[in-house]
Order: sequence, then structure tokens, then C-alpha cells
Amino acid sequence: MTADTPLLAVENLRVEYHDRHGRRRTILSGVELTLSAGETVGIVGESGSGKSIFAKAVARLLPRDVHADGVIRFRGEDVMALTPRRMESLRGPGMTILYQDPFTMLNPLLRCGEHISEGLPGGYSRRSRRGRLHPDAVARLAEVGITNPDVADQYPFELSGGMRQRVALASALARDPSLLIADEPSTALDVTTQAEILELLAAVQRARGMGLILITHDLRVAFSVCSRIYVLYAGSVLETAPAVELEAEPLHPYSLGLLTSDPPVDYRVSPLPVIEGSVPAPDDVKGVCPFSPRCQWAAPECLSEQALHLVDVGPARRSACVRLAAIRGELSGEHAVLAKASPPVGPVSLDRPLLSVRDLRKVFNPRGERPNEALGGVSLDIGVNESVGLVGESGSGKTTLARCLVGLEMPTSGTIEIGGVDSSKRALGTLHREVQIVFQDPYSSLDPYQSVGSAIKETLSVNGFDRSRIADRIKELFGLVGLPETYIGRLPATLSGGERQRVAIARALAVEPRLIVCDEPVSALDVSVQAQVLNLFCELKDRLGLSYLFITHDLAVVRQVVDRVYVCYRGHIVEQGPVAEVLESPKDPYTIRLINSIPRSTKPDEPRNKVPVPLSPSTS
Amino acid sequence: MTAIAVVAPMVTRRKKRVPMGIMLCFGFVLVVVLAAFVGPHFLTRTANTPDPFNLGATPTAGHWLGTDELGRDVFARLVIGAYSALIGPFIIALSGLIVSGFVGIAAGYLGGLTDMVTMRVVDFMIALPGLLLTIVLVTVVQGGYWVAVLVLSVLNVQGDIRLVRGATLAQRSLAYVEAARVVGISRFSIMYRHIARNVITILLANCAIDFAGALVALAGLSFLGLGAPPGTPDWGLMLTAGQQILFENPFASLAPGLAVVLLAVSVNLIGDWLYEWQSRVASGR
Repeated sequence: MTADTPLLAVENLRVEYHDRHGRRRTILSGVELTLSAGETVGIVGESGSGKSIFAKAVARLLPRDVHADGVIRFRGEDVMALTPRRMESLRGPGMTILYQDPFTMLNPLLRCGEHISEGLPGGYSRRSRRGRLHPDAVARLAEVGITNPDVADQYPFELSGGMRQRVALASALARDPSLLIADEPSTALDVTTQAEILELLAAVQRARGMGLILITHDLRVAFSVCSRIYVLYAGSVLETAPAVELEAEPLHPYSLGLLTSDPPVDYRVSPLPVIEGSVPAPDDVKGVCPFSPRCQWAAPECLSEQALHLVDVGPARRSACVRLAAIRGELSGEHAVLAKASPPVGPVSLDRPLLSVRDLRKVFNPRGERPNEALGGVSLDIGVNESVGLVGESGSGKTTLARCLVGLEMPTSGTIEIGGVDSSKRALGTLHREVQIVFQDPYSSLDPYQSVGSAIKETLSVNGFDRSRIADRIKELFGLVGLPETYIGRLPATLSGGERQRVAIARALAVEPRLIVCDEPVSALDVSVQAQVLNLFCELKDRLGLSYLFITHDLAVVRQVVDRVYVCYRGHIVEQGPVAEVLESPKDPYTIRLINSIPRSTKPDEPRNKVPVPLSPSTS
Repeated sequence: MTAIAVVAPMVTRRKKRVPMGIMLCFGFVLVVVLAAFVGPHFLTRTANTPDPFNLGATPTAGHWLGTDELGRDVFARLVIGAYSALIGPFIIALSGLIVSGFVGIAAGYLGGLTDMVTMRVVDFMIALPGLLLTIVLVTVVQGGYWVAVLVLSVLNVQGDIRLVRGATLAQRSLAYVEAARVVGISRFSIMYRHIARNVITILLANCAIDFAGALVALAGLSFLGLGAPPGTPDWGLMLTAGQQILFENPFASLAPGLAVVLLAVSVNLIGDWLYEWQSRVASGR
């Protein structure tokens, strides 16, 4: 291996599988990537873009019926030609993968120390399994910021998600790999923990000088860690550029769309720019520019074969857009729109609030366990036609509050007044006419065997809607949420995540509520779809005079749709106020930490945090 | 329609073909059903009329599967016997489906006291030695086939209830159930429209296994002389009787044995296929 051999060079990587009917389906079509030793690159793509499969293909860990072909060179060695045995010895000291879900990737029966000893030289022996630790295990834990040596003796279930992710990282690093592929390493974690893990990854990468490929759906995360970025879409790389340049001037309509539809946290943009539609399957856009069906600049030449190749468009920059020369000016014009902030919304009168929660407490008493106080005296108000945010991490009690509001949970004490009427004194079954909820996961909130039209029809008929007008009302609701009427007879499985969320919104609107509680309504959606749904929420608010309680962990989402915000921490409201005020000059230490944890692109001259990154109280 | 509407993509509806093997299974079950309900109109006399000159004879043009030890036509008895082979297991499986559907979903969804009482009863039933109890009861009550069907129906249901309860618990925590509660849909409707539709696929597949199990159990009881009364054309009885003339006419025992195996396998495969097909409907593949 000479000095200029890249650590990893992938050329024309194609991955296919055979479906049940024996047809070939494409996952990746002709992906290229180069990574020098010690470099950090990001692969950014939405769900279905094939980014996880890429990681598995490089490590030759593809499922049996999935086939890869193309060239993968690791330190100049052809990975595809290696024997399985040789490949096994390459994984670990050569390359390794860090997976997304810290809750399932550690073996629940092995102590944390054993996970690490297993990978250390001579570590996998009977003795280490009996509990005697490898002497290096504790030092390895310290490298990932776990300074408490007792953690080595703990089982994974005793640790928080962030701690588990650290243990997993330590065990991935045990054989000192020269390439680490991190597949969404921070996605399953809380915001503040997420920032810590990302900083840790970057710090470890620099301390060890290893190559790092960070796979993520979040451009902001990629900007904060990576020096170069590949934008993956429907199995093809559409653009590759240094992170700083990509952020400053995207040279592909899709990269631009991703950037602009990702809501900014510093100011409000109304309405958010969106990319219409959703990510296609790679086979549906075979032989054409994969983004052309959704691209506003699409022209006949985008449907030709040459639209599939990356072309040099600058030093270290390549783009697959064939019309780039023609539309470059327009692209930067669109990008500039981002800088235009909309004026903040004026204050809403709270003299007669629609919702008034006073001193709400909820204590769970699981049998045989200590009582757990999820809400410790929460008070909040929502005015008529006002959109209020509730921000907090998992475990802060925000979902419990939502469930209390819609009657899925009975509060232990305190009052909830809606329109001046105490919820607990309402006649049975009338609360849901006032308050509705939109759940986080659109994949489980619809009955998989019930057509989406029938779900709404059922809602209308149990609420005594005039039977002869139901069909018209369903069409009206579909129109309101922007769904074609042809979708009425479809099963949820045939809809995309964003479309399902629209159905869920239509169902909530069916009973004509005054308040809609939105429990993380866009966090399960792709970035490009998120913006569409957020715009829909804003539009419905103006058209129907609705009020929202927007529950989320994402401060950028809060910035876009909310007038006032409450910050919730461990069952208490720690700060509240107009959204601009809270986000720009936070007072409570927790709010400050929350805001500091937003991934931001690092300028080269900015000093990074030192290793080890201190643990936040919530992770220990 | 608003400016932020969904752009409707082309829906490619693929034709879902039934695999060849499953077609064969359906074909075989259909043949057995026809035999059970049409056969008796034509073959009852033949099945019960001994041919004294052809005892235990090998197949001929007059007797397609030969004759049994009393000279009765094996083919005719096989056709008539299809009825008792089908009806008993069908009743057992269906009663399991209905009872476990109602009780299992209620126990799983309502929880609390309903769940506790149901599950203790089920635990008690599981603790009973099933086949032994059946043999004792059928011997004591002397009722033959129908008593056996009744006892097996009752003893079969506990496994189904457990299964349905478990599946219901898994469904209950899904957001669609809560979403239904929030828009005011009644408990009954959630349990027996939404959850039932989601657990019925598992239940159907399980009923196919119940059917096959009951078929073999009933044939086994007949084989022991505890099921259908002697002399009736029953596949289990034919199997026992045919043994005595295994070397004269092997078809007298092979044919009913093979029929039991084929029917059990067919029903099982159909159950599996139903489950897979329905799961694909829900996941949109």
C-alpha cells in the first residue's frame, strides 16, 4: 500500500436482490466512494436510499439473498475477492460497523467488560467469560468517556441508551480498526446524548487517526462531524462535496431540497420549502436521473443515460445533475430563500385560554416497584388558535401529559380545563370531541387491515355524523390534508409514512376538535416529508382555527410551528415563553444544554471538545 | 386540494397467484369434502354390502381398492368415511376458533379480573393429561365418536386461548388501538373489529394445526376402538381392521392411512399459506 492509496475505494457498487417472484430488485446502482486514511466522510440519505446496505456491502455482511458486485478496495486489497476466512480476519482490525440501536446490538447476557474483552487480543477465552476481565477493558471504557470502572461489571440493561452506545463503540474499537462505519449511531438517542456521542465519535476518530464513515439521514449531523459528504438517493450518489462547500452551495437540486426542507433552528420560515412526493424505489427510476420525478428543474435530458454519472464540477466536487450549468444560478437563488426569516407571530390573548392545566401530577405505581412520578405538578395554558410547544427528552413526562389530555391516562391530581369545563367532570365520551391526538409512529397508528377511508368513516359514524353525508365528508377531509380521493380504499401498507400521517391527521380532524395534541408527529418521517407535514399543520391551523400542543424533542420543529414553548425536564416545566425568546436567550441550565446540543457545522478553526467528553447527568 | 398535496404515484398492483402446491392441497380437501357429502348418496349400499366370495381381495375392476376382511368394498368405505374424518376435526377446530377468539381477546384486552380468571381456568386445563382423559371419558360415557369430539373440543381450546391472548396483548400496545380509543370507538368494536381482524390470521393458521391434530387424535381413538362404533366406515377403524389382512390386501389399511396423512398435511399447508398471504396484505408486499 503506497501513501496515496485510499483506505477505502468503492467503484460502481451495485447491490441487488431477488424478490419473492424471482425478479431482480436494485438497492444500490453504481455507487462510488473514496476515503483516505484518517478522513471522515458522511453518507446522507433518506430511508430507502440504500445507505445501510452500503455499510453491509463494504463489510461483506449482506444477507444471503442479496448480491453485490463492483469494486471495493480496502487498503488496495480487493474485498470482493477475499475468502470468507480472510474476510473474517479483516473485520475487527481492518474495518468495523457501529450500529444504530444501542438497545439490541449488545448481547444482554454478556457484561459490558466482556463485550470489550471479546475483541481484545487473546480476550475470547473461557476465563474472560467466567467474569475475569481483560486488564485493558477498563482503559478501553475510559477512552469512550466511561470513567467509572464498575460499568465493566454491569449488564447492558442496567445502562442508559447513551452509555450502551459508548460500550458498543468501545467494543467496536477493541481491535483498533483502521475504518469505522457508524450507521446512524446517534439516531436512537436523546438530543443531548446524541450530541455527546457525535462529539465522542469525532474525538476518537481524530485521536486514533482512523477512517470514519458516518451514515445518517440528518444533514446537520453530517455537517457537524464530517469533512466530506456523499448524498445518496434511491440507490445512487447524486452529489459529493466537502461539507463546508455543500452547506454553502449545494450543486444538485436534491441536496438543495434536503438542505432547505430541513427546518432551521435560528429563525422561522413560513411556509417551509418542500420536495414534493416521496423517495422512489431504485427500480422505478432506472436509467433516468433518480430525482427527476420530484425535481422542479427536470427536463428531457434528465431522462437520458448520461444523467446517471457523477461529473466533476469543481475541485473535489462532483454532481450528477446534467442541467447543472443551466440551473446553477437558480439553485443558489433558491438557497438564498433560506436566509429570509418570516416575522414572528404576535402574542395570543390568554385571558380565556382554550386549555388550562393546573398542577397536574401523575404517579405510576407499578406492582412491586417504587412509584414513579412522571409529572410533578405541571401547569400550562393554550390560547384559542395558538400553537404551543412542549420540549423535552424521553422520560421528561411529555408523552404522559399528552395522554392525560386526551383521556388515555387518568391524572393522579390536578385539573385539566378545556374551554372552561373541567375534563374530569365532562360527560363520558365527549372529551374526544374537543381534543384529538396525532401519534408519533404513522406505521402503527392505523389498523393494518382497515382501509384508510374506512378508518375515517368509522370515526365519523361512532360520533353520530349524518350517514348520508359521510362519503362527502371523507372526501372533504382527504382534500383538507392533501390526499388524493383515490386513496380512500387503500390499505395503510400501500401508503408512505408521510401519507399515513396525513390520514392520521384527517382522522383527528374528523370529529372537529378545537385542540390537537401532536406527539412527535414528524420525528418518524424523512426530512423531505417532514417539511410537507409541518406546512400542513400550519395551514390547517390558519384555515380551521385550531390550537396545537406540539410535543417534540426537535427544537428546529418547535421554531417553525410554535408560538410559545414550554420546556419540560423530569416531570416539571423548567422554562416557558415565546419561542424566539426561549431559544435565543434561554435561562434554565437544562434549556441551555438542550440548545447547545443541536448539531452545528464546525468551522476548521473552532476548537473541539477534549476527550473524554463529560457525561451528562441524564446518562449516568 | 391544497398546494402541499401528495402527488399520487402510480400504483402497481401485482397479481398474487396461489402457488401450485397450495392449489393441490385445496384440490385434495375439495375432493374429500365432495366425497363426504355426495358419496353417501351413491355408495352407502356398496360400502356395507359384503361380497362373500372376495374376502380381503386385491384391487379389481369391481373393487378399485380391493375388499376388506368381510368382503366390503374399501373404496366405497373410504369415500363414506370422509364424512367422519372431516366433521369431527372441523367442529373441534371451529369451536376452538370461536371460543378462543371471544375469550382470548377479552382476556388480553380487558386484563384484570377477566384475564386472571380465564388464565387460571386455562392453566387448569393445560395441567390435565389430554389424551388420557379423553380415553377415560369416552370409555366411561360409552358415547363413541361424538363424545370424543366433544371432549377434544373442550380440551383443544386452552392452547388457542393462550395464543390469542398473547397476540392481543401485542396488538393492544400498538398506537392504532389507542388512536381508536381517542376518537371514541367503543371497547367492543376495538376488540372484535380491529384486534380480531389482526389476530385472526394467527388463529386461522393455528386452527389448521388443531384440525390436523384432531383428525389424527380421532383416528387414533377409533384405532383403539374408542371412537366410531365397530362396523361404521371410519378411516381409523379401517386402519385397525385392515391390519389383519395386510398381506392379502394392503390397500385396506394403506388407503385410509394415506388419506389421513394427506388431509392433515393439506390442511396444515393451507393454514400456513393463509397466514403468510394475510401478513403480506397487512405489510403491503
